[in-house]
Amino acid sequence: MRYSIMLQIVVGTTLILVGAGAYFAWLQNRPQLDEHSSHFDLGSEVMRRKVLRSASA
Amino acid sequence: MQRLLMHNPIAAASLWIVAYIAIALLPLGVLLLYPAAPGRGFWVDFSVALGLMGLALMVLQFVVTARVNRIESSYGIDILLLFHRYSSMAAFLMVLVHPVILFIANPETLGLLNFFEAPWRARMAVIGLLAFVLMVGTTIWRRPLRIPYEPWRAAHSILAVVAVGFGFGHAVGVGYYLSLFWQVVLWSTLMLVALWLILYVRLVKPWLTSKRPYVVESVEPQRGNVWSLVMRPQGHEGFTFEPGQFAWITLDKHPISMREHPFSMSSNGDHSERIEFGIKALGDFTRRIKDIKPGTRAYLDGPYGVFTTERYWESAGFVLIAGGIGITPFFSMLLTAAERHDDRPFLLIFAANSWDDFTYRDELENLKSQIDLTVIYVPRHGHESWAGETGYVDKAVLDRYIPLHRGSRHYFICAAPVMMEAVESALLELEVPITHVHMEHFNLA
Repeated sequence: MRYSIMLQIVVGTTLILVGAGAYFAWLQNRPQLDEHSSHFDLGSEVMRRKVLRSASA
Repeated sequence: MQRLLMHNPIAAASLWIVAYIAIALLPLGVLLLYPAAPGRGFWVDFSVALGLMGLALMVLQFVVTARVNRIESSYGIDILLLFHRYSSMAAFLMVLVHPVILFIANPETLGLLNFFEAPWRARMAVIGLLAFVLMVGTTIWRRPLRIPYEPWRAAHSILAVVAVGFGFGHAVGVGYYLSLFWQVVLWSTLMLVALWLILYVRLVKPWLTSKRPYVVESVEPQRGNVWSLVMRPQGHEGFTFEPGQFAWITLDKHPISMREHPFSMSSNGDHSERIEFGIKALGDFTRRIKDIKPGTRAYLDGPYGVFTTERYWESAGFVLIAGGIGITPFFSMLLTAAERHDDRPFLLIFAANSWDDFTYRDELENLKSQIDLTVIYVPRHGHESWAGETGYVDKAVLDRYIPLHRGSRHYFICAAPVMMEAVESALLELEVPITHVHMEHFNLA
């Protein structure tokens, strides 16, 4: 039982490490946010709020 | 928090595992402090992550095997060595997969395998990996390859240093991530710790041990092909120990020779002036014990281990289950209990091949008059007039003798691995709480 628990712990920690490695690789290679599109998104959000405010008024 | 860690072994053990994962992840965590480098592709970065974590795990093995008492007391030496074996395999797989992914993602990197034309950073990777392969291979197949324990142990240490040293050299040589300031700080610290542990375990500690020599007083035959090795400290007071603990013995050689072997003490733990070991002739070293001459110089590194009744002061009594030479730590526990006038009940279930193989049988019978001791002998084959238990210590045998209130006792098992596994399963089936079952594998080699 103890030996089996220890094996499970090692398998668990290894999976955590491999998962973290994959997450790290994804973070390093994730698509960067485009500057224009982010400004556009921000403008759209401001407009959306203005429309909602005027509609409720 | 400190109180919780002192009194709750599960909390302490969990903390070490969290620390282990955190240190293995540290190289990646430090990289995230910096802006992401120009994308090299998911698989290349995943491969690099596996390489860095594999190297960190290899460095951590030096900590796991450095006989750090605080870590060992959370698990026990046999479990710690098992963790070392399994986690080294995990590190090995990571280090092995690291180049394979690179070769698949960037087939042009296959040219680095040309040892004579490859840059030195690639050569270091090949040498480090070969050392690792050799180390793992000779460990897994040591017995089939008939490699004696002592040379294997020396080679294991050297190969470990080569694998980690060349692995680190390879990472520095590639220099992509390891040129960042905090990565340099981190890896320098890890390497210095590993270097210190190697120096401490292989040089400092043997030198300290050599200042406290012992002399073999006698080698006495016991039943069951067992020899009692009796030692006395020379020029110092020796050490007291918790009954059930063990020490590493070096006989007739300087401790720096790394030819030490672990054995449980069989004497009274309160008597530092006379330390005795029960050793069964099973392997290369143990078969030579009977030829040791009185007066031989010896060195002891110890005591170690958590397989001891001392940790369970509140227990109402103890159930001790021994197989063959597994009686050694229990004999120490019973001798110590007798001298301390311990009034708690001890139940010893003792299995051996035959009636004549029960080591310390006469002494155990004498102890019955000094403490509340019940001994159930379980010979594999009983003699003609034998009316007691025979065969194996199974669920039925245990059910007949262990107390009805299972949780009122702590249960210790010391035997061959097959018997330990079987007895542990039977005890759990009999609803003994898992936290009350303690085991020790007596053949660490």
